[in-house]
Amino acid sequence: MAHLDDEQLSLLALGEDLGKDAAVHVIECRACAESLASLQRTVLVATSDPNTVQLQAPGSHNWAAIHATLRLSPSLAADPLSDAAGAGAGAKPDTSSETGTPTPLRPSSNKKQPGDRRGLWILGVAAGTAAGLVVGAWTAASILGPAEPPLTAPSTPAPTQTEPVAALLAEASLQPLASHTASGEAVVQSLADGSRQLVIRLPDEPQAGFREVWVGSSDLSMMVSLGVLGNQTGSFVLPSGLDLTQYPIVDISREPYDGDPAHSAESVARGVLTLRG
Amino acid sequence: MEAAAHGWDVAVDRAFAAGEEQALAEAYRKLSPLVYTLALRSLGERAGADDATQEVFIRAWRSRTSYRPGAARLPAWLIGITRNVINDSLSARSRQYDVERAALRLATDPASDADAKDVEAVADRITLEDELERLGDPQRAIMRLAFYEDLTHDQISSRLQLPLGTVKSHIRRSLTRLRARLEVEHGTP
Repeated sequence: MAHLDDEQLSLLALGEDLGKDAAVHVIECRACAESLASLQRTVLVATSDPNTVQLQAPGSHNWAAIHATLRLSPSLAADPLSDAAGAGAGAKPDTSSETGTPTPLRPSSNKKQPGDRRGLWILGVAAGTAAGLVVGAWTAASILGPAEPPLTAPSTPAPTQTEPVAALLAEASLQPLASHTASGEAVVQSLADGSRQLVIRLPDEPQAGFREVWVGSSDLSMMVSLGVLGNQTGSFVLPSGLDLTQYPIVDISREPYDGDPAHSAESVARGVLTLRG
Repeated sequence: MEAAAHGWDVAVDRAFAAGEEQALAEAYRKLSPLVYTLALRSLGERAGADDATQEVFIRAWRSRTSYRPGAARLPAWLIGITRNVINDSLSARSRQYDVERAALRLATDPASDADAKDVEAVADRITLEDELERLGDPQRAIMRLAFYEDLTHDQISSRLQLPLGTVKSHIRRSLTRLRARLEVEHGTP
């Protein structure tokens, strides 16, 4: 038979049945088979089911670097990923760099049935609305305890290892307070564009609430909140007008989910910054 | 379902083009996991994926004046930038004969090849969704019924009350256009 025309090939690519002759021809004719294959790939992508695709969230140091490089407003300093998660479920995702938590685009229980291709809105998921679900799933993972193992083995990189030319401005060792046991460290770095970031490492303890990072005056009468600390490490942009000699104390508090923005008065670790350079 | 297809808020597109920083944060919130995962699958290591993710959003913000909300949705535009950044990174690497090492790393993880294709498919689907938007109606409606409701051209013809020949011709042209968009996206002729 004659070659199939583009209309026929398109319909075949969409899975329509055009009869035996067309089916046989497209097997025997190399040109038609190739055309069909390329159209089928397009259909396949357009109808692909992203439900099962796992995404990993970038560590919060990425936003810190973007924020610093572009000199964005201090009000946008918090990692948008942790921001959204916190607003939604009252729990903070792990913002440390070493755990990219697998992020299902949709809960697997919502998997479509085979043959059901009515899933257009899923794109919304991938492209936008669904991103609400992305963050939701991610948050759920952080509430439910230890995250699933990442798709690739984490290599525990320092949260700042990809920062452009970071110079050390100050550092502090963080000592546990009261009934707490975890100790860690705090580092203030100057980035290439002149902005500063505070990097905290402090192992998490299995307790209720979340941890918040503060800098404060020596007598703790003035405190500035810098954001939420995830499991192990986090980096926080220091407001450009903040004078570290006035705020030499780094304080990590444990906060209940009570909506009160003030310090809970329960500090888990604290340290005094020593200025360098 | 029609409404759901428009899940991405076009107001974000306009705000981004207008230079509102909040829109960049919003784009990051919604798309950085996909950008990062694409980079991680392509580059094979976290430090590279970190660099690429930062570069994508930095580059996007700095070139926001060249972004036209009417021409593309922000997700599709960002995916395009992501591909460029990844390609730049890969070619910089191949200059350093580093590519074998990346391949070696990936080869040790049998799942990562399939994962990479899956993530690519998600990215491609965002690209196609953008192109579908641009088809306009009735082409867009026709392709949605064909793709997502699995209707035959006969059924589409009666559903939309369009002549059979018109439906077939729209399907042919639209599918060809979608294919071309993917080819452009991947740099193949």
